[in-house]
Amino acid sequence: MYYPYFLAYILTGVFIGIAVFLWALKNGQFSDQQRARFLALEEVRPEVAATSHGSGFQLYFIFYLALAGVAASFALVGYALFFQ
Amino acid sequence: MPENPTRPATAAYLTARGFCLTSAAWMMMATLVGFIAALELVAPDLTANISWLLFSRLRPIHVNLVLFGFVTPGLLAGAFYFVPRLLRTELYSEKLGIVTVILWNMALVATMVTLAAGLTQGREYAEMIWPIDAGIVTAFCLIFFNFIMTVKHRNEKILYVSVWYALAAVALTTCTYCLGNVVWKPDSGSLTGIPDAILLWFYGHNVFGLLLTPLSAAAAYYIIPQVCRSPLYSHTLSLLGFWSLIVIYTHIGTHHLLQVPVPTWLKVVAIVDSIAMVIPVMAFLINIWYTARGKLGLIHGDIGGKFIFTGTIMYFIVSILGSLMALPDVQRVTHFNHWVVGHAHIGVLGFSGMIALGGLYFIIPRITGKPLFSLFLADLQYWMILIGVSGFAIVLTISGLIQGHAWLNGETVYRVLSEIHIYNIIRAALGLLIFLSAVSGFYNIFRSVFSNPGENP
Repeated sequence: MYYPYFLAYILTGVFIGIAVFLWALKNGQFSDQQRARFLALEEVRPEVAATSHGSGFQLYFIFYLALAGVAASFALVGYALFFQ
Repeated sequence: MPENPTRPATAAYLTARGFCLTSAAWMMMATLVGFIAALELVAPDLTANISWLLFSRLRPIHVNLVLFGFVTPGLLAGAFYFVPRLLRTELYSEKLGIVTVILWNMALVATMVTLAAGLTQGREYAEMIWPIDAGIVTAFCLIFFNFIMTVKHRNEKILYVSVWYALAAVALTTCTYCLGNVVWKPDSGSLTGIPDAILLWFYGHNVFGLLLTPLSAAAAYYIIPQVCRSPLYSHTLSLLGFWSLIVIYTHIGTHHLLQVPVPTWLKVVAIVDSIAMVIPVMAFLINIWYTARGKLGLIHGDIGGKFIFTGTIMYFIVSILGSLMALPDVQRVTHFNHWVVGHAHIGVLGFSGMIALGGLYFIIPRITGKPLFSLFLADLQYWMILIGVSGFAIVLTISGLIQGHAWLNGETVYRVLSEIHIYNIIRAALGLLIFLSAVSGFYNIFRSVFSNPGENP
């Protein structure tokens, strides 16, 4: 008989959910929704330059590594399609 | 902002930095293991007689490292950045955060070693043995404590929707993880029979629904308005989406068990709620897409925003697929084959993984005070993952349909294996692409956090 465990868990979850919802309601979390829309924009932070500062050698190495991976992927598929 | 202006930038957001590096490093390991496992589908004898490299051991290592090594820490890195900022305060305890990061990484190392050694509880997504479960639950408890204390000390009365999502994700996952792993039975980590299956899939689907999805939504709700430089389309709609997600998503795990003798009422609840998931999904997507309406140029110009916006498109695809797959007639074809694997890759890599990476690339310049080491490498990773996950979706869907129809027609397995061989080869090739994107991403993120030659602005 496993229903009692599941029902107990479901009911606990429902009661906690309702309790949190009621707290939010009483706490005014659902009021002033127009101001809430702007909350993600209200941070003041220094502007960060968007340019890359990576050194050429390292970038080229990683780029060619990725390129080799792409080539190997195509080679694998080509081999399977045409040479087997 | 009430931040301490005398605190040097390098001392700030240590927890977020720790989770950034955790995510980037474990993404490499997780995708390498996935690639090797995919190779074994092409050449089953590739690692014969090497017990710790058998497919049956690599598969759970891959899945658990992707879930708990790459995606979750990536999303937590974002949460440890934006939760304090949205509450206009500092994180309650960076020291506690660092302890959490260390504990988290110890659990991941233990996961990899024990699963490779064959120490498993043999339940999907819940394979880890009890001591590791205890470590993960403790880490979630520490995160929840840190977040809730930050909320308590907040200077902003209203909790922005991202804070709701982050808190719920951590709190609910702590509970579902304990239940799903049956932590009160340390030896087996399981119940017996059908109740165990129900409990396992309640947990299994909630790893996506109550951990990855809310943390991803939280990151998107914070970052997209900033990238677009416009307010959220509707905060009320976002809260509607949040509460409907909490109410609906918790019940749908049993749609994994439609072929199993679980109670019919539970199957009906699971199917109805799987369709009803359209409500929270569309509430989220309409909100994000309307916020970004007319601002796609700005999103294209921000690498973090680009990753995240693409993640929302993947969310649309994976959610529609998920709702349809819960229908019994559809599931007769799509269940127990590669279709589900394709669906999982769109969800975890395309949606949550993309958003996790977008969050990392968005916050790293802000927590280090320096630009990214290389925008080029980040862009390269974006395209490699986009091509990889789109390819996964296509080949796994085709191969899944072949498998599903063959099964329905009563074909023998060995005849089908030759038909899907080419798709397994393409899958392995795409896996290599994803692994190399992870190497490139780790290098970029490591150099951005440490020894970045960029100047402070």
